[in-house]
Amino acid sequence: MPNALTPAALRVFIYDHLLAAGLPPSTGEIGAHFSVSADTARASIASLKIGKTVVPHPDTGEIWMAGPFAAYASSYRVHGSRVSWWANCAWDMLGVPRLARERVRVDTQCTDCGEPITLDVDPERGVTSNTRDMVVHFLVPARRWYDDIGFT
Amino acid sequence: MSLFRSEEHVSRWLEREGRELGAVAPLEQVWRLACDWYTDPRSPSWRPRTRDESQAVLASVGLTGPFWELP
Repeated sequence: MPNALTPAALRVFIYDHLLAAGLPPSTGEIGAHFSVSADTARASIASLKIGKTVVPHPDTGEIWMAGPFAAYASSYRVHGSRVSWWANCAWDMLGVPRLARERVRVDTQCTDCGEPITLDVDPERGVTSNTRDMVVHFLVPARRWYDDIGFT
Repeated sequence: MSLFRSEEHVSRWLEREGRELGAVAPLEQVWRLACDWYTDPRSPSWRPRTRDESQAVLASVGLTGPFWELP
């Protein structure tokens, strides 16, 4: 019996895949799992009311972001014990260990000078390495976060 | 939302890029935000937050004021 393509089932499939494989499933993989075409899978991603949690790429319809994970190579690489993920931003790099429920090491750099930064993050205790004076800059005010989520 | 070694590095970057200061938060505060913001979408009880619920999460970690007002 095929898996029913419901919003809840799609969310579970997307995040299970992400956590196991490091990247979200393609529309082809979603289609195969739910026994629907890739086009139907693409339409489902766009219309299943997952809110702003799962965002399709505007050109391809493939999953672009599934907060806090990114489907593209970003400046925030998060390494778990078995899998590595990309995070969308400095906020999201701290969300990844919460969802993965494991200790991670984040490889990133200072946005200004490019100095490499490595952070050890515990899913319960937060950043356990020395963060000295590190800060996160939010360039875009909250009222405009979703105007252009890629830029934000 | 970008990581910087310090506020001094934020200032240097803004000047070089010709951009205006947004808001700066210590990494510890952003950690608390991530904890409250990201719940597991695989949970059967998961649903998208309302605008007011998201605003409450921001406020709960001390992110208040015009910059943090959601649409």
